[in-house]
Amino acid sequence: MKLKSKTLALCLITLFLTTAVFSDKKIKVVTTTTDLASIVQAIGGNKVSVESIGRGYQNPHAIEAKPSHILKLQKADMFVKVGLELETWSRLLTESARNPKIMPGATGYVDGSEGCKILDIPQGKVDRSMGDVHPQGNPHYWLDPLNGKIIAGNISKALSKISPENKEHFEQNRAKFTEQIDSGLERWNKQMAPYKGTKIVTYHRSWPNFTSRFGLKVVDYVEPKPGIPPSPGHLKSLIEMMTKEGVKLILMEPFYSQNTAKSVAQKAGAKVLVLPPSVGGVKDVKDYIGLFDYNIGQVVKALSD
Amino acid sequence: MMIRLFSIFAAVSFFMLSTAVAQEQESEEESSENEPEIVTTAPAPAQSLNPDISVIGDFAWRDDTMFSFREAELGLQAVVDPYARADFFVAFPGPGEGETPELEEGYLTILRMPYDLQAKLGFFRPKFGKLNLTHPPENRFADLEPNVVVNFLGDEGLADAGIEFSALLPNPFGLYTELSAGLFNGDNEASFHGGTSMKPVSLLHLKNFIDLTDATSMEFGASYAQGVNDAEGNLKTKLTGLDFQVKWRHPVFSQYNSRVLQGEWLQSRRDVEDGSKAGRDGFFVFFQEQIERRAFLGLRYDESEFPLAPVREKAGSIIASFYPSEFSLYRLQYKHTREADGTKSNLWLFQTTFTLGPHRPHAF
Repeated sequence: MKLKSKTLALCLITLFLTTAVFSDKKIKVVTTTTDLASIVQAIGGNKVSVESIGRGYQNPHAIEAKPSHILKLQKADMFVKVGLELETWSRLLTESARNPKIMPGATGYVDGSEGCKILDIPQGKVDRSMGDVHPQGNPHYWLDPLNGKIIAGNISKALSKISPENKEHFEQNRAKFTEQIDSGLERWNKQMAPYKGTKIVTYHRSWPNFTSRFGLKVVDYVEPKPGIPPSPGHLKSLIEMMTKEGVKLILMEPFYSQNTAKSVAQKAGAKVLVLPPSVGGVKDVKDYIGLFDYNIGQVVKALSD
Repeated sequence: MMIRLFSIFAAVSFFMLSTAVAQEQESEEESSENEPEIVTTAPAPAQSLNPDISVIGDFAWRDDTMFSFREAELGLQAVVDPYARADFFVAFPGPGEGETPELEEGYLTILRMPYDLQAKLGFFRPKFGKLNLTHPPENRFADLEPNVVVNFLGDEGLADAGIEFSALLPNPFGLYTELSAGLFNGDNEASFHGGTSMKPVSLLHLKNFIDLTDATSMEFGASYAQGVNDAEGNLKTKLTGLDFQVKWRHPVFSQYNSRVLQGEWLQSRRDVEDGSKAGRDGFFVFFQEQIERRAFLGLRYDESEFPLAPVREKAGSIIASFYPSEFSLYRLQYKHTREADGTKSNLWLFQTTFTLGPHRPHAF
């Protein structure tokens, strides 16, 4: 009797394991940033399980590729990156993951930048005297909601190739996501209308897509060149310019030290606004649409005070 | 009877499993055959097919030898095809540092193999310990290598012609565990002499990595190498190593504040011509704190015997590094050494390295 019970239990376990293979298994997606993860979730819905290597409060340039990331990628069906050399560390991971599904050129490899409007593409000779320059253009393109629609299209296309039977599901979600962006744009543009043309300074060159979309004019940067800390001479000129031009706002990300920006703001009679460039950068920002709701709200509040 | 029934049931289930996997692979191949290639919005420039070219210059000053341009290392790195990549590093020694350019590494990495294996073939730095994978100018020390590495693996560490396989070992703890096994010629000035004897060096390395928190990670490993140390191939050398590294980076301000604690222990047991066996060891421990965005302060302690001499030297170093950008650095090291015979010496070293072109990030 005992032997029969054990055998029955073993059969049930085997049946369960076999059934698990045939049941709807989710598409495992790994992204480099939380913004991409949010868009994947919006498009994939309950057909995907997604996680991001980077955290929303981290500088995506400076993420350290760790072996634990390789384990995630080893099991992934799809890998989504921002591209434009933002994540130079990611190749180390994909090449070590032993997963042909996510290698460049494979169905599961997605470069979110395809088809997006890319700004600040350097012209002429490009070298490191320009600082930490991105020769293919500014990689912070996800901060334009219209690019968010294109990213969603790239993701939907890849998901549909991986799981053609769910193509309609992905397209429906994409249409819904597009509607959310369109209605979001309507309210964001309305909120920002009174501040169109306002001159601001940003710490790093992370905001051209955001400021261009919502009518803010970036007149200078705290960093004299990307990735190069400011010299006293540059800060002096910056303060003088801000005072003369009436620039009242310095925009920066949470992962940069605020000391220099605050000092400049105090001397120029301006204020520093720390904005998350990514989902999860602050607790209240839980998805891609929420990122713009939060950031636009904060900018409006800062400019109206 | 019940066992037989279970066996049939299990066999049928696994047959269905393997069929499902095969069908999945077929449909992936079919869909890739029917779907058009990914179209980019702009044509890729032809020069993107060229390898990434980089040069690292290593210039130093020591108070016992004055200035030296130690080497210029040319790197050529690219994907070969969808299955493999290749990396070449050629060191051009400065005047007085060597006579001819030297291949530091030249190897093919096969990225896709059965059973999730990867393989490296060529002339390269095998996985032995942690420090051996990094080219000396890119280490965190102006003297390039800790004493134990120089004494047991040579000035440049272990680099040899051979083949190495690596596999990620599944485990119930979710730990990154990588096992590497390699065979090499065994030409090493300090510990092996396999070249003329035709007896290769065999290497094993186990690497474990765990994220303790989002900000802190720990790596620990074990290495073993066995080969011969004479031209006839009669005398054996066995090297055993243990390594660890604990890294902390501020979860938000990681560019401004980080710490690393790293160490390796190496033991050599070798047959000697007189019939005796020499067992020697050594270790180093290194701690570095990032005190500001571009400035780092480090301390290193070395203690090491020599492969054939039962004498032990000890040294302590203070190391200050400054990075104007990620492409250049200036480093000052003060090293106090107590030699095996008790004599003491002090050494000041200054190093600067500078990089042109994209240099692939090194493995964690």
